[in-house]
Amino acid sequence: MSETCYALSRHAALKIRHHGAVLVLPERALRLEGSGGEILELVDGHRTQNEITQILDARYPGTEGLAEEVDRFLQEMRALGGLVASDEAGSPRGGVTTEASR
Amino acid sequence: MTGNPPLNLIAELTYRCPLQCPYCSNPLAFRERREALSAADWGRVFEEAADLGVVHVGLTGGEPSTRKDLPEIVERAVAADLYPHLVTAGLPLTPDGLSRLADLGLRSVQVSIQDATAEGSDRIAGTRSFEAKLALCERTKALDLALTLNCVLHRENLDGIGDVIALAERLSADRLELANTQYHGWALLNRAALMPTAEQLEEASGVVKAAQARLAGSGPNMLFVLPDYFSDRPKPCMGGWGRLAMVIDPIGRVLPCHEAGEIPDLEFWRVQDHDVASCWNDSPGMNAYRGTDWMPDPCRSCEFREVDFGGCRCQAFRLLGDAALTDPACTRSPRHDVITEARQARQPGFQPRR
Repeated sequence: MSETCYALSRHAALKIRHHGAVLVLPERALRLEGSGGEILELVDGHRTQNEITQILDARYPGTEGLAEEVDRFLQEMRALGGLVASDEAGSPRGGVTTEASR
Repeated sequence: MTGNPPLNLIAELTYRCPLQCPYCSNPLAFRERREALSAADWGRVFEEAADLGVVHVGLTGGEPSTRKDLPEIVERAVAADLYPHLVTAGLPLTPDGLSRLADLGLRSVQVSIQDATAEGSDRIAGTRSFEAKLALCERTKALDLALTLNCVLHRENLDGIGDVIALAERLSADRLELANTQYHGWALLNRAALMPTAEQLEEASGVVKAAQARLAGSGPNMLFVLPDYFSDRPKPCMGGWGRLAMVIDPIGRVLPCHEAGEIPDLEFWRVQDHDVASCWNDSPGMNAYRGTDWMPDPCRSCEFREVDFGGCRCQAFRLLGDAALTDPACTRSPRHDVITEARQARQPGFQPRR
């Protein structure tokens, strides 16, 4: 489903801290390993999965298995309730906030 | 030793509460006094906590909505880029008061009930409150905030667990915490009145599993964990002492959990005297049981030492008089007998919290 767009679910928020990115859900917070935070920062309800993969590929040219990694991560976040596919109900509320913007 | 950055701050805004639940985790003896931290103090604490790595703040107590400045506290949590979550008994907060908090940026709400019926819930709470709780749940959903329903379980209400699940479904709760009583504070005092039977727990566990299978991911996400008194291994209390979550109590002490301030001889620092990072990283109390170096046998050589972290220090202190011993809830503890005896000691009639 690489033409699917994703958005943060309405109860989720992405927080960027010195030690990395954290996905926050009601009563739960998950540290995002590796490129997880970068992927979620690109999730805006408009970009397709393919477009996100292309942006990351441009940042890190020649990364093997990138498309599979992005797909696996997005599916995992969706299963946890952190993401919704853009054709599902729900829209981002909190958006992304960073240390710099505080 | 320095702690990892915590993700979660549990902000105990007050000890005051209109309910008198017999399992309350408030300290048994505290003098009613003005809260030590103003809304502006909490604002500074939130900023420092976010700098340290905290992303989520649970506004709790006592009953946080007994504070008239709760809206300002929510506003300051939002300004510090924390995800604000309210833990409430459902009053004195009103639905319109909740709408105001949502406008200020509150994201999720946990409402406690004491049973699935007004009669049962109000009796256990010692205060007429059930209708107010339901009204608050309904407004939470109408505002599109996340709703967690919480019910503390014990001998008097475990048999009604199916009705609690049905209520959570009717309210469209996103999560349902079916929280077996942990025996601290007033709950330890009332332990014999609250202690369930093994049969009750087995039955309740079956009801939860059946409901989870029936709902198959469509209804509330249910959390039910066997109480540590009835399982072989101790609970991984707070995910480890000073590891993931930071508690700040109403007098400003930075603690690893709600109860640790009751352990004598541990020195915890207050946010009035030190910044939040120092309180978390450097206070002697926070470092007393961090990691695994403090562990006695049998924990020291146990393959589960980084799974359950030796269990609950407060329980070891309360039941054995020494916070540095293995939690007696563990079957490997040489003093596990205090748990097996308590499981059998049941008496009717609890003492409401004062």
